[in-house]
Amino acid sequence: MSEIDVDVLVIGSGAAGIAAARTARERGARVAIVSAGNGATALSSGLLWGHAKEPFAAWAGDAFRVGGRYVTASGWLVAEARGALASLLDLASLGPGLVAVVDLPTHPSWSARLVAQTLGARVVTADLDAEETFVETAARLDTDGIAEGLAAALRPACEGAVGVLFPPVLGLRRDDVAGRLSRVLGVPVGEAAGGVGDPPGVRLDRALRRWLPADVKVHRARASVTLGGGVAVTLSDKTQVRAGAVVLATGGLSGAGLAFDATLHEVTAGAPVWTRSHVRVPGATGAARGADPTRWFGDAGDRADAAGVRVNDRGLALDGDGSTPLAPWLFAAGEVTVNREGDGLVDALAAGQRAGAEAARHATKG
Amino acid sequence: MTLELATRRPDCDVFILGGGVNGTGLARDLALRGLRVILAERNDLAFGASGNSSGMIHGGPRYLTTHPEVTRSSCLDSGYIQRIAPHMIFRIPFFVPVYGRGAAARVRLDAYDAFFAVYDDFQPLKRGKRHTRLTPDECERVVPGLTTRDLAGAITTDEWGINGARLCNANALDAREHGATVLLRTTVEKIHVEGGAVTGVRTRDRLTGVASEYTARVVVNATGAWGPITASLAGLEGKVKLRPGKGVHLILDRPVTDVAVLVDAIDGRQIFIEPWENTSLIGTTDDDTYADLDDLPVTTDEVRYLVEGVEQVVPRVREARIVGTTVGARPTLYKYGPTEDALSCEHEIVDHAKDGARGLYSLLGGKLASYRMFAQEAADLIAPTLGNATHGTTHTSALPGGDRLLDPAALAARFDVSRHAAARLISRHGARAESVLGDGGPRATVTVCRSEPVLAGEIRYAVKVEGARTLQDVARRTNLALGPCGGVECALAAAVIAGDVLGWSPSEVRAQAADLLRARRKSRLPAIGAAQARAEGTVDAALRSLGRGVTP
Repeated sequence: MSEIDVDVLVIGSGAAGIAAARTARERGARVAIVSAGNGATALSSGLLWGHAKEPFAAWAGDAFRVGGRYVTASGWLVAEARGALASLLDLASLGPGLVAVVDLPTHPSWSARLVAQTLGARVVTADLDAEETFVETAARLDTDGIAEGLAAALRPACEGAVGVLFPPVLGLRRDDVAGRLSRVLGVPVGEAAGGVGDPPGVRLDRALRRWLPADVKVHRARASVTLGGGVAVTLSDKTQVRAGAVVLATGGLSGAGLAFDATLHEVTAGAPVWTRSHVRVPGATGAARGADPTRWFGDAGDRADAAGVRVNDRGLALDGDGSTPLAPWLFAAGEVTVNREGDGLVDALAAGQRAGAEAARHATKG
Repeated sequence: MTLELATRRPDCDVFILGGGVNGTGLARDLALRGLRVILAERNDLAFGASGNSSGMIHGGPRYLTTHPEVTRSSCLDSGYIQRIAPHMIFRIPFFVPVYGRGAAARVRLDAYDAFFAVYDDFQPLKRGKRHTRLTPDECERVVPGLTTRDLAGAITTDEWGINGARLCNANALDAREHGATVLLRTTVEKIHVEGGAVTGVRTRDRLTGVASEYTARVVVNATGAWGPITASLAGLEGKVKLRPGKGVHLILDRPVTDVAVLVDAIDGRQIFIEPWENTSLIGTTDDDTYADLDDLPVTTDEVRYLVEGVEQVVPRVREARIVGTTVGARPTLYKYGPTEDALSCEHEIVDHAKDGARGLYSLLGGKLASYRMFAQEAADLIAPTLGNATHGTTHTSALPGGDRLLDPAALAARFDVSRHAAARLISRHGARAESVLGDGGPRATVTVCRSEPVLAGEIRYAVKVEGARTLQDVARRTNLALGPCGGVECALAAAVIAGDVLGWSPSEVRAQAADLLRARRKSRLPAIGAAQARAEGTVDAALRSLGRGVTP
């Protein structure tokens, strides 16, 4: 029978989980990840959003560019976001002059005109001649020769530009598409950050996985944590688990760390859940025929997942009184928590970093 | 009033308030008679009950025993609407299962059988099929997964469905093409009455804030449930009384059944699930409403009441996802005492000359199925007072796009779009689908919303030709963003295209996209279950990507 025997078991392989695993490993702990699949990280824009500052920046700076001015697909200029990927175009790094914005006439959600209007840039049109999604275009540009051909066709129109901005299509499996285009065009080339499910988010998810130390294995299974004694984790595939500490980094509603059925609840450990306005979501609902979504999802419309587990300043998940840790060994980070600094990926990474460090300290202190 | 003003030609013959099916139907009728018409709508065409009904042009079987002449005229009118808008209607067979054991169930089945046999006599007027009586075995074949415990049999009958929002748009468009002016998102702040007669109205554009004055010889209050409020703008407080009933429908992500199934809810009321375009519709609640008509709430109670009722007979309904809810207030006539279901949906024209406002009329009540007759009745009353002796032609003149039927396969081949997209487009625009794609500007055939689907050209058409002024207006005309994704994929793209035509700034484009995502979210909120809750996270992400950042 297979077995996982580690100091720190991280549940979840999104931004928070990977940051926790990497940090715990850096602190000398033996680490494994259990993951049930992709969540919100893979659906992100490709930008590292968030408020958390030092010491995160110095720590992550070796893998991710820190700071810069980036554009999103909806034409927002983004100041001081962190660019996770070389393919994002950092406007701050460009010299004075006009940027050329590439129009793909077949993509309805990319408006070169709109972005150019925001940037004061000029529009150049690429003729891709097919109605396809950003993901499909990105996959096509991966192929040797295709990106180079496109760049050659665009080159005359881009004459004199200080940089060329593409929609979020610069590679699905490869990270060198921007570089290949740039070599032909002779100026820096980059893409706007994407929306939900666009290629930059997919590449960010992969970049995060590459950032994970090679000896941290990701085990595909669904985990369940039992509270009330020592570390007790069971996996859906019956693999035995021995661990000194657990980091819950299972995500929010879209990552299935939280779920809404009989009531709004935390899935993996059954940890108590609060809303952002500090209202405790009751474990047993008083609603005659099931929980009322309008009560827990709010009516502002901006946030469906405005709830989660509360953690203390060490990242320990808290009981229903809001102050007692559920167990000395259960930490939580990322979207599954409610009292995080912000809801960006930087905040998830920073919280994961803290939880990983504390979990490593707890598991290896003896 | 100075002599000069008094003798100046009024801005219009008839100023109509309300862009529902009564207002647009009347605007069209009067414009076809050659009268000069202005219509102002406070929100959007079909914003109220007209766009949030069960979407049926039925033959009025409920009047069969008491007022057979009403059933006859309803069926006749259903036939007329098929003639003037053949692209817009679709057959909805109705399936009425009867449960119970022994003689009681048999008697009930016999009674339905006999009742619909009488209704059959009227069916030829609307190309309807005759009723059938089904054995329990046959029932299961017609509605797979039907609850069969204690099933005695079923009766089927035949009705027609229609998209109320499209119907209002077609009427408004035809009115405009015959000289009428249609002002959307424009509210009327005051109805001027001088010397016992109406003289005009003061309007305000709710998007720009600009006020305007219009003189008119006749003013018509066709504002549905808003009717009493509208009458008070002329100082006629209490002269128009309604008892609005709130009706909620649920929109499912797929057609769960091939036929409409009538079901008894927990309180014995009849509700139904019907296949409707490429979704299912479950309805309807009927409760007195005291809420703000511009922002009617849908509650979890209402959603669960409807789902629970349908589940008794069609358990498979739980497999589908609720992608939206609709809510409207029926303009039911006032009566204190009876339960909501017993209130009358009859229509009535009030001439306010008796209230000291000659030339002001209120159209009260009415229903989608009989809108054309109602509009004609009102026009027959109003036109002669303006010296116009022509007859109404709305039963024979085709609505825009209704003059000929296009073949979806041919349209698909001609414009290189999918047959499904072509068929859906034709259902909304009829023969005008050719110009939607042909004159749809650059990239007209690019798919923007894959759930419906909606093509780029149709979004431009909604703005340019149909007068949509916000992205939510576009969505009301096209079913944009009405899938389980909640608009994550299409909201920004559609806002970009609409903004191109309307000259929106980049921040306005983002705000419009976010408004649509929020509105769709709000409509789903009381119906969010386990599966949809997970999907809502992506809507959050989309909203974040639109709403945050720093411009230079």
